[in-house]
Amino acid sequence: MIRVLIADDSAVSRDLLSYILESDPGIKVVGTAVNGKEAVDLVKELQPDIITMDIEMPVMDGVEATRRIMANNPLPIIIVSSFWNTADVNLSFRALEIGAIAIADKPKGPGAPEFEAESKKLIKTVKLMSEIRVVKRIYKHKQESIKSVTGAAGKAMPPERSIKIAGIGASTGGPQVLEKILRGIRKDLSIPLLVVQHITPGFTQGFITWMNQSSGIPVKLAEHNEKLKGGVCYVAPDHKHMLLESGWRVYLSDGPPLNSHRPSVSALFGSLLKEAGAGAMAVLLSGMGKDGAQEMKKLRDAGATTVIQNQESCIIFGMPGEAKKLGGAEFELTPDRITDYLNQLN
Amino acid sequence: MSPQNEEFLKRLRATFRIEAREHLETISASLLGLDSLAPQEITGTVELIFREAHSLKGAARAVNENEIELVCQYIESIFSLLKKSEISYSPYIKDMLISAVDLMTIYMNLTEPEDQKAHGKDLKNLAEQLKSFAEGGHQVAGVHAHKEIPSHRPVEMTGEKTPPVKRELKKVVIGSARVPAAKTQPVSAEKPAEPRPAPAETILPAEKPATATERESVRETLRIASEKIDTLLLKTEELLNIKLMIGEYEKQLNDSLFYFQPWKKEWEKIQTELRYLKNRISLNDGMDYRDKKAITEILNYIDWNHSLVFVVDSKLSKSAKDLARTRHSVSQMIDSTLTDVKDIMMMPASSMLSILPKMVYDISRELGKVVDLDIKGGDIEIDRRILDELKDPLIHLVRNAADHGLEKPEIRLRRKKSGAGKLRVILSNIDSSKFEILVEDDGNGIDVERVKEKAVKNGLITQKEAFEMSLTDAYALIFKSDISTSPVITDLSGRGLGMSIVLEKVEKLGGNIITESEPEKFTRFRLILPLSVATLRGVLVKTGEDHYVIPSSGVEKVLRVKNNEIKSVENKETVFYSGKTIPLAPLRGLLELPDTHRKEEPVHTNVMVLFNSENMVGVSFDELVDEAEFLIKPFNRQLQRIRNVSAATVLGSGQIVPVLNISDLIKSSLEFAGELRVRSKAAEQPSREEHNILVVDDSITSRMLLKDILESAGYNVKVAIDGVEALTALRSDKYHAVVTDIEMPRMNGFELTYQIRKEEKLKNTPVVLVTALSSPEDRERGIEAGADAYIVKSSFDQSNLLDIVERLI
Repeated sequence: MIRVLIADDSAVSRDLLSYILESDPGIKVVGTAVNGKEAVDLVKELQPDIITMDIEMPVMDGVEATRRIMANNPLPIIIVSSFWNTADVNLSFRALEIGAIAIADKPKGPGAPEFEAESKKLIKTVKLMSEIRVVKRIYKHKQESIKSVTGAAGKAMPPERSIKIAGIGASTGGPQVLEKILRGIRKDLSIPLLVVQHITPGFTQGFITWMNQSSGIPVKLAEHNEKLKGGVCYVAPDHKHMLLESGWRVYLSDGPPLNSHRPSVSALFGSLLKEAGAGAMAVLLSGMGKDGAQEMKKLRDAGATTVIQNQESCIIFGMPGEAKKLGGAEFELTPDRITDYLNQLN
Repeated sequence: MSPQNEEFLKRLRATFRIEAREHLETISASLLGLDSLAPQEITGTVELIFREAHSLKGAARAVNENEIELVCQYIESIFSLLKKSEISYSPYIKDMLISAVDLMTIYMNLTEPEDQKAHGKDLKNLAEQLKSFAEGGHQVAGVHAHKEIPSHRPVEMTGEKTPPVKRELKKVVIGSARVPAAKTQPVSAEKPAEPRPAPAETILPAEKPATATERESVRETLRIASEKIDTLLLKTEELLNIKLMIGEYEKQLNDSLFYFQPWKKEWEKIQTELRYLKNRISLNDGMDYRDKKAITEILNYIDWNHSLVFVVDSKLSKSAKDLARTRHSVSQMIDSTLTDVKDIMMMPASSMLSILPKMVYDISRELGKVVDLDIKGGDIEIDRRILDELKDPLIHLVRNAADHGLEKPEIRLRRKKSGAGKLRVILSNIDSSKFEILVEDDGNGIDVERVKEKAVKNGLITQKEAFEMSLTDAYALIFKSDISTSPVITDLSGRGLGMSIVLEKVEKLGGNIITESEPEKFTRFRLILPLSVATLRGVLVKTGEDHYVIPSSGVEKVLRVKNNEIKSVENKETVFYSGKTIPLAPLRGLLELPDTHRKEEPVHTNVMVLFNSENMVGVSFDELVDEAEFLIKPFNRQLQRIRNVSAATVLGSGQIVPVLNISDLIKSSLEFAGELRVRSKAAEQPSREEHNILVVDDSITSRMLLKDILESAGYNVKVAIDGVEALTALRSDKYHAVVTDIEMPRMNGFELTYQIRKEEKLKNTPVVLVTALSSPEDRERGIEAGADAYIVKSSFDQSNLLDIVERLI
């Protein structure tokens, strides 16, 4: 039985979320909090398995509550937010920085055609996220670094490889890590970065905005047919595969989802293989599932540089783990080291 | 949709309506107050409105209220622009947003689907309007100023009770076409020199809207029929009676216990004789066997009796202590429960005041006045029932002030006043049981002449009376029906009913109204009211043998007046108080009770000064018993209107005491033509009701016992300890009967009786012998001496004595 605490200042939201979650026999709502402070107190008292946290709440907002909970009673926190408001979205990503593991969209009520689908999605997310084991995050300042791993991390890259483009794929846990990586990236990076981040539709723009706050290079939404420039990070938009096309252009495809994802990392990596071959670098960060794992293997076999995020720092070692299993990952690195490698590419 | 989902959606919608109402109210209040905030406070409020719109949007989304979601979305956008200072707040924006809030409020109160659909379209249009404004329309605000936003009648934020509003949408230009709502328009302030942008504006330094961080979220709410809470409160208040009763029983128990004191003393006194007897018995000295046996048995009995009584004393003492403890804890529990339940009844006054800003805003727009509304005291907690009753009177007074009191800006300027009329509504605590509502405008003032004219025209007063009438009395005329000096009957006022209803409601609650005014300067109404219903602070007074409670709210002061300070003027008595002469009437007279005769004529008279909005009078009474909080029991339908009496209360002793009506008393006082009372002469013949009885007994216990019995039957009792004292007493005062023991020192009962019969003046005085001696010989002796009755103590019971005494007198 998954025990959930719902934190939201809106009575309507609380009611709706409770109704949705409790419709699944495996989930039980053990408490509701009307503001962040109550949420912190109730976590201590009720010890739930997972929290759904609203961002905008009086007395103490979701970000601060996340910080406190992760510092004292860490547990999986899903930020339930609405993507309409960029301020909200910004704060949601901030919460990710501080230790929340996922962002979910506020579901519509019954009567809306999407209700069934959205309810199912929310339940699935809650179930999956409740399994994740989190550690105490005493978040002091932006420069905090996660424990590094020795071994493969120490290896420097052989200088003769000439990398022309890098593709990065990520899912759950991706945004936080990506933000970290980009924070340290050099401004005059010479290659373009193509990013496929599995994210709740609607949050992509907010994600980009948020990353731009700290990224060393500009981050933008990939546009169909645009020419890729070095030192820019392109993010795949909702519902489209982002592919590298001949002529160094972006191709946004409406093709069917791959591995149930669209945009899919596999699609991206597949196009990198075709167009860049050994001149590509493929990176798989924290994420659920297997999207991109097989293609990474193919890339490695073709001589491309393949990197996965190290297990300890991954929230979910799904995609990178699969790649490793298949033997597709040449390097397993901490996020900092990934940044270092990228910076070395000039 | 599955049936569960449908059920759930219904419940969710109900929750939404409650939550949405809160958000809309906060937004509305904040919008209305935004103009008048200091710049540093504006950011906080803008942030608050922004967040409220956001929350409302989120909630609307969950219940598929797409139109509301959209409207909120654009309100958010506009506020986002405001936050970034890309546009500045203008009357145009304010009007637009207030209309939006109003529309949404109306929409949410609708229950008929057709109404909803129709209004839904309006909301959609509104959303479009807001959208174009937010997305650049503000650049060409001049053009938009001409656009008509569908409007409505002023809306009150009431709950479910509001009936569905008919679709009479008047097309009114918001903010008026003259608004050059340019980007640079600052937050509107008073600028009389400038051509007034909008003819109807409300500048509201009203109560500050909740600060940015203080909004409270909607918690679980429970809907309870208010009758249930009223019943709960009444039942809890009944518990007060238990508290009082236990106190009473405790007192009675202690009184009974007191009798053991003299008992103990007598026991001590008798020890010598007892010991003597015991000694005698133990000696084998040839006492008669029969005598010895009798005495021994009696001595045994005496010992046994003593132990028994001793045990009874101990047990009763213990009971008394237990009772005291119980009373203490019961008192605490009852008091605390009552406080908690009363607390449910107490609500901050702001719930009543919150409708005012919007109402004034709407009125001012409709009438073309500019009103500066100042509201204070919303945090005072007042009984919900009082708030309910006061809502209409308050609305009426405020409407009046805005409609009749305040002048149009042009006139004000001519009169060298500020362009914006000042309207103040201020609540303040007077003391722990009363509070005051002040409604004041600095407008026309009350035109006393017009009022009098109207009154004469309507036949309420004569021309002569009008001429001689005092200012206070003239003001009082306002509150009579049909008095309205408004030449025009508007929708809002002028019918002449409102003020009389205001007064009626206020008086019904046990309060009063003080009117003050100065022509062309100001009009001020002060409503003085109790903080809560059902218990009332009152003064318990005694006149003759009767008790009455007078509500403290009408008692100005209680005085002790020397009799020579009471002057009589034209057959009416008066007394001088606080610089003026006020009429004085006796309470008994006012209540049309027969006069009692006092045994001694007092040198002082107790007077309570009563006041209401019109008058001040003095009412004399005998004794001030207490000033306390009383549980008021209103009368039922059958007793709705009784002169002078408004309710009843029950004292701790179980006695039911009437609660008097201040206004009636005052009215009666003014009409009372009292007989001239001559206060300096001593009492003459006692009237028939007062009978004096002399009790003679050397035993204090017996004396007390007899005195108690006789006094509780209404007699006046004096005591003497033996025959000699008795005779002295009989010679100096008049007694209607003598109840005497026989066995007494110095002069026994027989002798006393004989002496009484010998004296000319006393010989007809009834004498009752009460004695322990029961032999027929003693009885004969008594009758020979001249006694009228002979009662033996062992067969003594009080009704016996009383019967006899009554027959003899």
